[in-house]
Amino acid sequence: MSKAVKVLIYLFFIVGFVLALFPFYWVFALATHNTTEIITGFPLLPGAHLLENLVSIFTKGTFLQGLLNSCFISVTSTVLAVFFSTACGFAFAKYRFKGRDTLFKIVLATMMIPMQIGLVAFVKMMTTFHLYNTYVPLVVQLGTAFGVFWMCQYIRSYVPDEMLEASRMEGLGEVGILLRIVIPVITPAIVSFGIIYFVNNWNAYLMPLILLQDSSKFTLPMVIAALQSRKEIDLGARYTALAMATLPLLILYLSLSGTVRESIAAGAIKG
Amino acid sequence: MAGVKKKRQYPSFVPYLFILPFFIGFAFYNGAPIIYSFYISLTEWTGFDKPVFVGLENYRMLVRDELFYMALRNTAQIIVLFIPLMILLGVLISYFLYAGYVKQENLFQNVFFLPYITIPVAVGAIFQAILNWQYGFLNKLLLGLNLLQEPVNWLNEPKYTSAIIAILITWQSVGYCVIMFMAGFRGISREVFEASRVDGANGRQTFFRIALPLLKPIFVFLIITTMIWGFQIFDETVILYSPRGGVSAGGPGYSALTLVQYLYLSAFTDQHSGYGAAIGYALSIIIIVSTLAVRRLLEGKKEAEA
Repeated sequence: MSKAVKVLIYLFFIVGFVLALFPFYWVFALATHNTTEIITGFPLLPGAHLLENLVSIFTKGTFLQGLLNSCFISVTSTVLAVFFSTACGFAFAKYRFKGRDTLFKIVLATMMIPMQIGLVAFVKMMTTFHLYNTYVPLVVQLGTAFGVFWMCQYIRSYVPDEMLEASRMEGLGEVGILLRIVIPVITPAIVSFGIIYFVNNWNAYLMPLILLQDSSKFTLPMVIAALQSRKEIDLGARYTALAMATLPLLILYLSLSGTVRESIAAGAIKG
Repeated sequence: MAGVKKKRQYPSFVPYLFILPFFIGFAFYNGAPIIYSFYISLTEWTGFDKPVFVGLENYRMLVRDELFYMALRNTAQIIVLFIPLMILLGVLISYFLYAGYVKQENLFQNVFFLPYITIPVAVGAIFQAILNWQYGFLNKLLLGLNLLQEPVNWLNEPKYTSAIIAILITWQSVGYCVIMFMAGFRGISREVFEASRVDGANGRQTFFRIALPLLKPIFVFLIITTMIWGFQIFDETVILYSPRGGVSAGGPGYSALTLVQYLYLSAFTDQHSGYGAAIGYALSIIIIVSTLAVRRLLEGKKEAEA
């Protein structure tokens, strides 16, 4: 391999590195300036207005509220979805019952349905049941087809039948087996699926957008979207809010990057 | 003892109890809405009025609707632009990392993956911060370097729209492709590469003759999954092209209007539930048919080669 080619490849990676990170850097740099500096200057280097912008977004507007709303919705829905996916996957993996194979095929088939197909009717139904503009449809999540499939595969490979039988001998009930035997053994699968679900949920925009009306109930993506479409605006505060909104997942990712990356690659799904 | 073994050790309702929540959730969140949506798509249902059954009228309107074709064409254009770009970059980056041309494999994978886990709405806003005509980075840079005399309003020119969105998606998803291809390369045994070296193949030959054919399943998988995302794109484009208009924008001359956004506008902004539901069905059929067609095309080629 000639030296020139090696240099070219290195150059390619350096350019890629800069292109991947620079947009984040630019937003964080804007977050440290005020509106005048942003419009008239070329704010490449950090400015002196970060604190002022932070005070502004945390005291005025709905940023903090949106952050808390998103935390609440994503955490509770992830816990519920993971638990019920695990229970269902466990049943498909370890029990014999009538209709099992057919039902499992149905679960697999539903993974291919685009979510947009029932969107209009879903909002109508939520309105009829007085669940429109509430968190109920966002929070009460009873598992996903992908989660059931994922858990079922994992339980099949990592939970031996003997373990379940031994626990029954000791008088543990079936729910007890699920909670105290199965869940501890499959923690890695739970973490992976939990991360995938949490990230998708945290990032989701369309579903909360069509279900929520009061700005006090908005999730973080909705707050960012609302800030973007506002007419007269404090640009410094807008980009501080944007920078702060990207921060939680960046931190989560950098603190357990291997796990997040492998999970999402293995899950191979998005939104 | 054999008799004891045969006996079920748990009450027979237990497995049903465990699967019940999932199926209730599915019925409520997916099953019923899918069926109900089809009914709605057969009605004229505006605002708070009662639905009126109109048969296939919404679908008849849809096939004559220029905005629908516009949205379909925009979406298709974006897909055709971003998939080759993203896959080419993804396979090159992962091959150079895997073959050890560049060290710090982990660092690069992490950096390229960051945009993928960023809130899609934020990705749209970040691109807005780059492309805004007044204070965006691109204009400041080009004006500063004297490459431009006047600021260009990148987001107000229909001719740039598809390319901008394709670059946005590529920026966002290339790290995902890298990870999938890395997994693929790791699945090919080192011996295969070494054997081809011993046979005198150079780097380029190894890449084209050995690695690429073995990675075919990953190419097919990535093309199909990213095509499906492409058809469903909404968050990023809506934010990028909403300087002040909210969701009702659709970009200059509707050049950024995507299928999902058209569904949103029809069903939720204009309150034409029947028409919105028909778009939902049309979109889903388009997605399913394209998936089957692309799969057949890509896998059919394999048979022809063999």
